[in-house]
Amino acid sequence: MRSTFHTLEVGKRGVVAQQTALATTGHNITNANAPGYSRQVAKMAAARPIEFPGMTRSTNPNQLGMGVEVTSIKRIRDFLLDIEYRNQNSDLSTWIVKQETLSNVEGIFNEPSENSIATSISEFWNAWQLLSKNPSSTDLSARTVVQQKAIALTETFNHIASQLNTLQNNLTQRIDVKVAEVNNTVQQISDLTIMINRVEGLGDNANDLRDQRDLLIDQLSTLGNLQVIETDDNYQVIFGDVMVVDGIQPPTEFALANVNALTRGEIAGYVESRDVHVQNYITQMNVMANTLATGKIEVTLPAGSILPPGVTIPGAVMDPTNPRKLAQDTKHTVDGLNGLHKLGYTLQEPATAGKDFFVATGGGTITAANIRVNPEIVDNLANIAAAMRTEQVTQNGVTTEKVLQGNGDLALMIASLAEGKFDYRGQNGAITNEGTFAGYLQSVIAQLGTDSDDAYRMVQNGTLLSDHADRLRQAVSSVSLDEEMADMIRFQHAYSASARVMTTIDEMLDKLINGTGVVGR
Amino acid sequence: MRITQSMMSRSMMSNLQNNFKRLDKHQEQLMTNRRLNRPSDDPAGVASALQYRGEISSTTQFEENVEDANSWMQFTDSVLMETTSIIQRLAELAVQAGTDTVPADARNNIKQEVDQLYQQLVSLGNSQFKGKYIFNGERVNEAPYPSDPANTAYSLDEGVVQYQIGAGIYVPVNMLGDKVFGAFGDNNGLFKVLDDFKNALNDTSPSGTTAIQNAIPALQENLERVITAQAEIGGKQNRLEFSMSRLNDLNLNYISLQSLTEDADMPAVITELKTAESIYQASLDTMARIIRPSLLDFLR
Repeated sequence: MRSTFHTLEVGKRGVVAQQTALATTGHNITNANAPGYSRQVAKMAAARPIEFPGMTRSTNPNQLGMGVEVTSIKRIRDFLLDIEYRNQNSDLSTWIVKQETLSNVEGIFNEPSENSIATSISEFWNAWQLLSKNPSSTDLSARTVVQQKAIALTETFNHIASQLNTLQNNLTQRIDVKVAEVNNTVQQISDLTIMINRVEGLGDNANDLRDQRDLLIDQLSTLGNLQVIETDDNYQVIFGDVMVVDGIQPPTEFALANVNALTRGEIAGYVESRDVHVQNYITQMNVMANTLATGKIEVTLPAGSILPPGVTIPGAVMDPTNPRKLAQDTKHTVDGLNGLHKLGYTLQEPATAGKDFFVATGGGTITAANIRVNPEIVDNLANIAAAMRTEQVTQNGVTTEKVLQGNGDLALMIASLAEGKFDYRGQNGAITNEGTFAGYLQSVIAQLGTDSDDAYRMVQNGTLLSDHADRLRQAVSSVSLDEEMADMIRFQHAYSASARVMTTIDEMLDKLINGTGVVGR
Repeated sequence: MRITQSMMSRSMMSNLQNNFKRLDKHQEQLMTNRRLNRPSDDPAGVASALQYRGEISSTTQFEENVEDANSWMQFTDSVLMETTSIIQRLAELAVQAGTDTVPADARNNIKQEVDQLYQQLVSLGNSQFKGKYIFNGERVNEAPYPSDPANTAYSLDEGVVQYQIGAGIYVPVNMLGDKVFGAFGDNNGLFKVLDDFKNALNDTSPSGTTAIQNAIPALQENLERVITAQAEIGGKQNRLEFSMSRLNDLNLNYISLQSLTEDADMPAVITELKTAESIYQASLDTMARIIRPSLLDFLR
């Protein structure tokens, strides 16, 4: 026979279980906005029944219910959706970083505007036109303009190069910071893993700790691509190619040397931005600076030009009376503006051939960072060569070679380099074989625009995809207040009903104890 | 799909953010009055915009070059005009002096005037434009003619000064002295003819009269040479005028192309801005309506 108080106990279990469920609902509601929180439910199950008690072992198939029991409090979460979200998130973070960098580069180039390199270039060519009209010493202002526009152009090159360099350094610093962030997060994940291990060793569900750990993994997925391997008795995190967390063992440090193994995420984005994108624009600027100064380009030297001593032009027909004088218009390939400048004469007396117009600060190959106007030209305007003709002048029996000051052929030829096609074949990383100088810049800017536009689009798409994955996750895990309110009412009523069972038993016992066997009292 | 409050508020926030971004974009276009503010706004458009800017810059430079060439030629032209009138005056004097009946006194007076005119022609030959001698080819820093060019040897430079007035188009702007006054050693050169004329005025014999009469066709020949030079200048000026109007057209064309690629289409931008604004407001309104009610509001 069953116990007198059996149903009282069943009622009590009901009250306790509903109270637990109500508490879980309350926990859900209060955490509705907590990041990373996944809703929890109290799993209720009928308690293990006992055999219907009898005087002897019953042969009846009856079993008596023992009421309800909260078997576990589970969080509702789908780990496959976690993996999907983290993948999308890593991708998105890469593009966000790249887009940011490229938009920075756009800011550095500042095109189209009145004070950009394109403007400096056109003004530089125009200055040579000006000089071609006023090459003589009677008016030095055209020379000043050439000098100043050339300095402005080299400074623009230097400025862009240094800005791109600073950007690269900033990206390196960011990578350092992000690597530190990785290790910080990994440390927290490891700590949590130890705590979870401890709690769950006792048979409990460490729901909130797991939520925190998953949130940290989400954050880590922003920094780089990762893989989580969870088995019944171990939890491993592989970040890039390093197993940073392996159960309760101390975490492995993710070192700077490992960043190249990352294929996605912010760190990979920074590395790619620095080593591919920004580097590309530095290379393009170097190509431009170097080509302007020394790149091969064909010019037509006008008939009557007098070549500086020692200069020979293959295939040129020379004047029979003067072996240095060109008898006819002659096509010739020169080594950039420098090469052309050396074919002409400065204002110096006796006639002196021009020197390199552009030089590299500290010598060596000319790059965007080190290009500058030859200091001799900065110091003395007369050192700018504009003429192609000289004449022998005899005075007091002494013959000197003098420049014909009114000749601006060289300046005119330099100005016409604006329309000429430079050869970029010798330059590493050049985006075209030949083309005008301005055309090359246009290609670089168009490439920058396309890169940046692509990155922007990828950020848009990535945001959609990552939002979508997150929504799928949220659809499973996030707290619905309506749902919780409905549950609350459900549990409240179940609580009341269980309590009512107890009241009923109470009344029955009252009847039994106080209302029976009172005859004759 | 199960939808929760946090999902709704999150998606509403991201939609709101998108609407706000669109608003910002139109605002920027309106503020700067430009459609292209950075290369990524329209990569191909920016490349053409840069090209147009470059073309405008060089075309403007060519226009300036044409103007400079023109003013040089105008100056040359005025010098040639004066030369012409001097030669005409000299011809008149030659006619006056070229008869046997002219008294020696009168010839002497005429000689005085011819002498003055000779000096004047020398100084015309040494004309300077903006500090540069215009008749000495590219040797612009030296005077071409000595004080008595008929009897002092000189040689002029024959360099041609060129101005660029278009891509690959050049115009020679200087007039060579020999083409105006004749070279040294040429017996029909203006200075030589004048010198002979002057000397003939000293000669009171009939052979002097013949020599004076001979000066008349010689002067005529010189006048024709100067007029030919003037015609050449006039032709070039004509060409420059054509170039100028072509450059003007070209520049206008590039400017309108640049504006077309770079500038914002105001009515369109304003319309889009207004649309974006109302969408933004509508989403705010929707949010305000949706966020508030939950089951909570209906339970007591």
